[in-house]
Amino acid sequence: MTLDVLISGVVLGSLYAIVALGYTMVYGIIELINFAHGDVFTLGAFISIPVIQAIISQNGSTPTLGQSIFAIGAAMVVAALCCAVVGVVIERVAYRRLRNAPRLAPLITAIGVSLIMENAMAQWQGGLPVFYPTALQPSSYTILGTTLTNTQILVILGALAMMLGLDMFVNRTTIGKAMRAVAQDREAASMMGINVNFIISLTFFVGSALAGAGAVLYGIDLGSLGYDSGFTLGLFAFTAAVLGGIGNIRGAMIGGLIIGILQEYVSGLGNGVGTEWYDTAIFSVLVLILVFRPSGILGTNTAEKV
Amino acid sequence: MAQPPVLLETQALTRSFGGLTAVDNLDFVVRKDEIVSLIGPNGAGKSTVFNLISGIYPPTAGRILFKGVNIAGLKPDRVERQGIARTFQTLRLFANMTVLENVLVGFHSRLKSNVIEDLIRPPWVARAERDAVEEARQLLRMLGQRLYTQQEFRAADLAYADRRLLELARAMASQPDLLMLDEPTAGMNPSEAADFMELIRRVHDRGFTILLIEHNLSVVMGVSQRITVLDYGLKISEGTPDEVRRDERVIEAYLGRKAATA
Repeated sequence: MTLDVLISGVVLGSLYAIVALGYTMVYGIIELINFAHGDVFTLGAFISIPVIQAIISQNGSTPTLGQSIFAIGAAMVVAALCCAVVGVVIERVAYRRLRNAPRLAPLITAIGVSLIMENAMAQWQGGLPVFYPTALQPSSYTILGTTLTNTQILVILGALAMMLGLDMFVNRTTIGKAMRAVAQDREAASMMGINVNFIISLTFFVGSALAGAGAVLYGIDLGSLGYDSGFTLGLFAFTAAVLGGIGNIRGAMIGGLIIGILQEYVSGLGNGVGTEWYDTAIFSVLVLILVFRPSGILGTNTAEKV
Repeated sequence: MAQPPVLLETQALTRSFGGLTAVDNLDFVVRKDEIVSLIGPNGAGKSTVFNLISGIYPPTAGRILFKGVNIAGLKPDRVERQGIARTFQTLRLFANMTVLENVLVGFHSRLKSNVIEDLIRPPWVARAERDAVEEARQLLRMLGQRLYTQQEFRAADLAYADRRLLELARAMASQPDLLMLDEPTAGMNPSEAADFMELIRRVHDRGFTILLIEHNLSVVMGVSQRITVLDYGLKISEGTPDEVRRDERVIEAYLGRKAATA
């Protein structure tokens, strides 16, 4: 594997990791695979488009670095907040009343919400991929004999900041401790005075906000997206979450990076034939992990729940 | 001598599960600064009473007055914020968190910061958190040097008796007006149980009012000021340990059954 492949794998993997965090946080706290999460991601990307267009004129002129930073920052904040609200509403409407129902019930509503969002976005944005506006004047740097674009640097730094921020939030703050307590024993946590419904809403808020902010990085990196982009990406990110150990935040980060690197590595095989095979490779990982090590890389094998 | 004020009072408290009445018209009172025990054979309805008070499920009928306010049917987090903390018969620690973190979760209702403050950490929030850590350490030290030295251990890695202690520490952390302990000596040998009861006496001396569930009559004899005895969801006796010990109905509920199953 060349350094180029590794770098582009890390870039892609960072995006998967950000989305995987949303899956794993929600699973950790209510044991639900939130299939709508990938579509919340897509929504974030679409919402951010007019924000960037409003700040940077798309008539071919070169944005200054200050404009780029402001546009990207504003787009990430707007997308994060909108997605966060949508995520909280989805939980409130489609999952909360089913919290004590058989597990299949909320899974079905999750798929339902996903289909609703995809079809609504197809109506809104059309069935064909749309271009993501230019937010950053492309440039590249040569470091250690390999080429790094400024977009790649942006994605890696942006994702890293989000992951570090989340890690500190969950492990250091009082509310983060409450989140972990709810994830481990909801009833005992409520008896410590923790408002479980609030913590669950907050989990959806944070996970969806990460997806929204990550979607801006995705749009800038890939340059276009369709109404179903988040669905495919969501499946890869879900695989990453399972690989790292579903419910485990650091596991999702590691899993995301591994899946991203795997995708870029397989894509580079056989003079481009590999690009037709990376889905197969990634979903093979999903099946193998579920069959042979369902707890993932960082998960423990012992059941935590009573 | 005037009696201390009533802290907790149940009035005709009833809970049915399908056709089974687990708690039947129960009236009992806990006064401030008392140690009161709720005892009875297995299946008498003791844990159901605890679950009703702490809000895990609502009563079918009756009232639960705490500091004069009816708390029946409130959600557990609201009950806790009224000033009631509890432990569990089957340990319910946050197994993947450290000993210290478990106690800090117990502080949750006392740390008044909101999410925004938690993220920005202004000086007063940082100071409140530091104080909480310091207080949590003191609490662990008070409950035993071993727990104090193991404060960075994962809760799951503690010895069994230490996990029981940690549950007690976590419940005490919110400085509840009423501390409810659900069979705290379950699974302990007689000497460990005796040590634990001595510790409960010390906790009581620090100003905690305690409601204790026990299966084993002899364990609570020494520490309780008053005892309520349940059998099949009904109160069959009530009084001082001596009165209860001499009560024929209690002897029958315990010994009669024991003799039959022996």
